Order: sequence, then structure tokens, then C-alpha cells
Amino acid sequence: MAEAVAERFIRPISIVRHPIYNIFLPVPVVCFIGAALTDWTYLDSGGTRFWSNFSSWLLAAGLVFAAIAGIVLLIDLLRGAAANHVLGWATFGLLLAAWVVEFVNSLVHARDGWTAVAGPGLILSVIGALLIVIAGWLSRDALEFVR
Amino acid sequence: MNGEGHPRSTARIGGHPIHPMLIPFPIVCFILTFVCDIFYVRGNTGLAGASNWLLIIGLVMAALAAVAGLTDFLGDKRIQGADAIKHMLANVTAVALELVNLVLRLKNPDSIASPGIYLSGIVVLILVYSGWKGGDLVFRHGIGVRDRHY
Amino acid sequence: MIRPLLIGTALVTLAACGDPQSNIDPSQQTGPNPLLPEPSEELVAAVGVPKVVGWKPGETPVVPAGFKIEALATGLSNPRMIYPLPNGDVLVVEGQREGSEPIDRPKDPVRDFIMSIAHGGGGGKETSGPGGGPPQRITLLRDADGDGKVELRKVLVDHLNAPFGITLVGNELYVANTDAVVRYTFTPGQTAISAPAEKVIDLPGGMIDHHWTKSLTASPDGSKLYAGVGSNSNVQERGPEAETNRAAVWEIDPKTGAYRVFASGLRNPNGLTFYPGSNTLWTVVNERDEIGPNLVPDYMTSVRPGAFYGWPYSYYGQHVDPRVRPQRPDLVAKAIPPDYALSSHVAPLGLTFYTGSSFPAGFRGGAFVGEHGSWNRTSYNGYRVVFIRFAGGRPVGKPMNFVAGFLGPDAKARGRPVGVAVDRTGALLIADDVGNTVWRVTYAAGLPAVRHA
Repeated sequence: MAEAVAERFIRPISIVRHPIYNIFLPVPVVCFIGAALTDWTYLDSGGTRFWSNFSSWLLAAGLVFAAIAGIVLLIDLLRGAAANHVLGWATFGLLLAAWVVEFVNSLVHARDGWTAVAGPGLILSVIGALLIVIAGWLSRDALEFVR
Repeated sequence: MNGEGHPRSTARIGGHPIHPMLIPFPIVCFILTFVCDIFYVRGNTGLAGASNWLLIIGLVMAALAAVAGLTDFLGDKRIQGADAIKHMLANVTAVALELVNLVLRLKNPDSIASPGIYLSGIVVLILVYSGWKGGDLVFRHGIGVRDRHY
Repeated sequence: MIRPLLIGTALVTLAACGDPQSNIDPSQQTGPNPLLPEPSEELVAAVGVPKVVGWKPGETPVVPAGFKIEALATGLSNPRMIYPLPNGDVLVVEGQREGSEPIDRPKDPVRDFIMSIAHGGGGGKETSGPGGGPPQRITLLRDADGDGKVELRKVLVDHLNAPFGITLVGNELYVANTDAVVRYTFTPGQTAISAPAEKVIDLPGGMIDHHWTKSLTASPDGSKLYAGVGSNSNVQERGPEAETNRAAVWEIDPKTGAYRVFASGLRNPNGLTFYPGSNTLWTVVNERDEIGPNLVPDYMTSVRPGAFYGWPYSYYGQHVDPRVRPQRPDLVAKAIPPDYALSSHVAPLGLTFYTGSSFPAGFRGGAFVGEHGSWNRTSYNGYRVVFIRFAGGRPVGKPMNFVAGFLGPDAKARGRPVGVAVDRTGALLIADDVGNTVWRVTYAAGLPAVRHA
């Protein structure tokens, strides 16, 4: 039953016990993976702008929700809600890196025509998607949200 | 709870349950479908193609998520409670509605205005409910959460 | 810790990538063989949009020694084109695009917002236009004795739709709205038009209407009209379907309303004017943006019938734009280079040839170009009226700054020149849209003639 010494449980910022970070993080994961896929489809189609516009919107949505998730995570970490501090900060670092990469990527995607995606566009999309997937993977063990 | 640990997820990879990894895809896709539908009826008719793709990807990922979820459901009796059942029924309903949604608009893009956008909107509401239930499964019942030893 | 460092390094590298255009002087990009650097797409496109402050009372643009500049009319509402009538009256076209372009991607509203800063002062306050918007009309100015003071000022015709080009053929006044060429029966001397417009032909307008100004002129014998139809995008990023019959000069038969594409591949042709005494049509063209502050130079060129000038696939002949897909090497091969570059991003909107006799002889037959001014550079270019000498019907030498001071030393815009024209007395008239003024430049006889290169 109750151990002699139990760590104090600091719950991450939550709505009725659902951690806000965990609610928001999946959105940029989906959006950034999606943007890499739509970029690839754009290049594969020889430049059908429907796909590069799709990428731009996915990046925008991903950036907004990644920012929210990142801020919430930062607050949680500073409050000491991390189950594992190393993992917690690593997750934050990766999330921040993903955000920066995808922000630069959205500037590249703001170019007109082919060069919005060809070259740096696709590369940044892939890097950003990888970074946030790893961040998402680590974050499962980073925050303790239930006892 | 500390004695027997959290309910186990059967469909796992590297210790991480698969079902929660997959469900964000249909959720985000179906929400974005609704957003596209809103802009469609406000005049951006070019978005019809986008919503079709979002529905297709969402349905495919939902199918995969359903397999993982069902595996978990059958794999540990402690999961087979009221919350899990409500979660499952709500998601099945949502998927069924979106399947109808997709078929209707593939046959006739004008169906986005009616009943397409209404279907998308109802599904978003259902997802709020089923997502909440899913959250309860993880954040209250601790399904698939790694046991910690103090 | 290492991660942010790596990302930072990558950022700096990306940002530094490609600034090979920084050491080019605009004078290297004027004339028939401009220096063309490699395309350079920065992370954030160089943007320099001066705040509009307008003219203080008594403030005027600057002209060379021996010339005088005065405001012919002030308090106008975004004047864009001016057209002197044979009887000395001057018509001023006041109009602007209303509404914003449909949003394709997140960049669109951001870009539209930045552009709106540049048009800040122009007539935005007056809302007497249709539906409470800015005026869309033609104002008549009468200065019968040519002393530069207007005795009569009246609105000639109102409720147009983003008008720009205007020309008189006999007793027919043709106006190019953004979506149609219309005609009014009009005799010089009239000060009002009450009869409704008669539509001659529809022009491409639509929801996007990115380059909305439709320049208009008539052939010397009056039998044909020529309209400039700008592209619907920078480099076809809205798709080829949006560009049908755009980026072209149309030749219109005013009697039948039939048209043909006279020349194409001209991204945004304005200032359509025939060289005096010839059948050669000339235009000034706004070339494309966002591949660097020194690409692509805008130009002035004669318009050859049936010719293709490159847009969107290439510029200055065979310089391929890497952004346009699918590419068309067949069209690039036939693209002809323009006659005379004006340097990058000056935004030429007005063109007229000097046909008067009150300026020194060296000006006769030469071209005045109204350069609205740059947005795609951090160091401003344009914001002036330049003069280019012509010999034998061809431009020679380098452009000479003729009217400057539209951009103040504080880098704020007092005004921006658009259309230029020569009035009956041989004075140069300039429409200044954000300054809401029509300027008149005269030569004070008796002073030494101005030397120019």
C-alpha cells in the first residue's frame, strides 16, 4: 500500500485531470508529418500548387499548437511536474528545435512556386517531422500524469 | 492500484501503446475537414479537394487505430469498462459518419454544403466526447501508463 | 545544448545563403543590357515600404535647374492617370482597387497587409465611392490660359470600377475599368457626362485581379484600341488558369468589340503609348519580385505584334525563372528581350513622349517615365520621374532623374508618381497618387538649358 516515502505528485497543468500538454502535442505531430507528406506529393506531382498550399496551412496550424504545447510544457517543467527531468527537458529542447525548424520552413514555403518546396522546403519538413515525433515519443515518459 | 500496476496495453511498441499514437491522425484530419468545409461554404470552393484527402487519410488512420484499440480492449479485462465502451462506440459512430460523408462528396462535391458540413460538424462534437473518454482511459485509469516503482 | 547551437548555425547559414546581389548599383541595370545577377531568394524577402506622410503646404517635388514645379490640383483622391484634351482641359482618373484578394495560403494576408502600408495616404479618407468606398471617377481640370491655375474643377463621370486607362478618339471617350473598356460620347468642352457608359469589351477582372490597372491607348489612326492586362500573380503561383489572356497587350476593335492578344509575356504592362509619328507601340512593364532586390529590372520596350516577352517562364529573353513549373523551354526559346531596362523594382506606371516645344530641344521625342517606387528592396529605388532621350525613335543613353523628392530624406513618402502626360503648353503633368496631387512642370524660359547625359 502506501510506501514510506512517496514522491510528491505535481500534476501537470490539466483540465479535469487531462493534461493540457498531452492534449495539444499530437496536433503539430500530425501537421508536421502531414506537411512532409504534402511536400513530397507536391514535388512528385511536378508542381501542383494545391499540395504546396496544403503544406503551408499544415505548417501554420502546427506552429500555433506546437507553441501552445511548448509553453505549457515549459511551465510544467518549471513547476517540477516532470517524472524524469532529463527526459522532460530533452522533450522541450526537441519541441523547441522542431518549432524553430518549422518556422524557418514556413518562411521558405512562403516563396512563390517551385522553390517553396524543392530543396530546403522538403528537407526542413522532414527534419521538423522527425524532431517532433521524437519529442512526442519521449514525452510519454517525461510527464507523470496519473497515479 | 499500486499493487497490481496500471492496466496494460497489449498493442505496444517499445513500451509505448500504439492506439494513442494513432488516434491524433483521424482527430486532426476530421477537425481540419470541418474547417475546410466552413471555408468551402464561405466561397473557397478550391478546398473541396483538401477535405477529400483529409477524410481519406483520417479514415485509413482511424481503421489502424481501431485495430490497435480493439487489441488493447480484448487484451486486458481491466480495460473493458464503461468508459472504454463509450469511447469505442462514439469513435465507431464518428468513423461511420465520415465514411458516409466521403462517399457523398466524392459523388457530388456540392454535398459539402449539405449535408457534408453538418456531418463534419457533428463528428467534431462526437470526437470531443470520445477524445475526452479516451483521455479518461489514460489519465484516470492509467491504461498503458508505465508503472513506476518508488 | 548542442541542439540549439546546431539549429542556430543552420539558420545563419540559410540566411546568409545568397546575398550575391548586394553590390549592384541601379545604374548597372539601365539600358539595353542590364547586369542580371543570379536569383537569390532570401528567407524573408527584402521589403522596404515607406510610410506615407503626404505633402506639407508649400512642399513640392524637386526638378532640375531651369524648371519649375507647381501643384495643378491638390486634394484629389488617389489620382493615377492624367489625360490632356485637345482643348486644354485635363482629365484626371481617380480610382483604386477595392476589396482584397482571396486567400490561398497564409502568406497572402500578410503580404496584403504590408502592401496596404505603402498605399497609406492615398485617398483612403474620402468614401464617396460606390457603397461607401473610395471614389472611382474622372475629374476634369480646366486651366484655359495655361498659367497653372485651375479655373474650373468638376467631376466629369463617377461610379466607375477601378478605372485606369483613358483615351479620346474623335467624339468617343474610352475608359478602361478593371473589368471592361467602356465608352462615352464626349466632345472636349463638355464638363459633365450624364449618359451611361456603353461597354465595348470585357477585360479580365475577377476576384483576384492582382495587377488590376488596365492601361489604354488608341492607334494613331484611331481604328484600334490597345489595353494592357497585367498578370494575376507574381510568377503564376495562382496557377495557369488564373492567367488566361493576362500578362498581355490586347488589340481591340472598338466598333465590333472583337479583340486579339497583340503581344504576351509582359507581366504588368502600363503606360501604353505610340511613339509620336509612328506606328510603334511602347510600354513600361513591372517585372517580377522575390528573387532578390536586384532582380528583375523593370523595363520600357516597344511592343512587337505577336511577340512573347517571357513571363512567367523567363525574363530578358532566356533567363529561366526557377520557380515556374511545369517549365516551357519552347516558349523560353521564343522569348525576346525588352528594349531598355529601368533598373529593379522601380515600378514604372506612366510613360509619355515629349511632344511639346517649351522644354529645351534635347527633350523632344524623349520619354518621361513615372516610377511609382520599390517595395522589394531595403534601399529604395524609383519614387521619381525619369527622362530618357530618344534618337531615331530608339532610346539612347542613361535615364536622367527629372523629378525627385517624392521620397523625403527621412525615407517617408510625400507622394508617388504614376501617370505622366504633356499638356497643350508643353508642360509635363504628373499624377501623384498618395500625394493626392497633379503636378505641373514648366521650363522657365531664358534660363540656361539643362545639360543631360
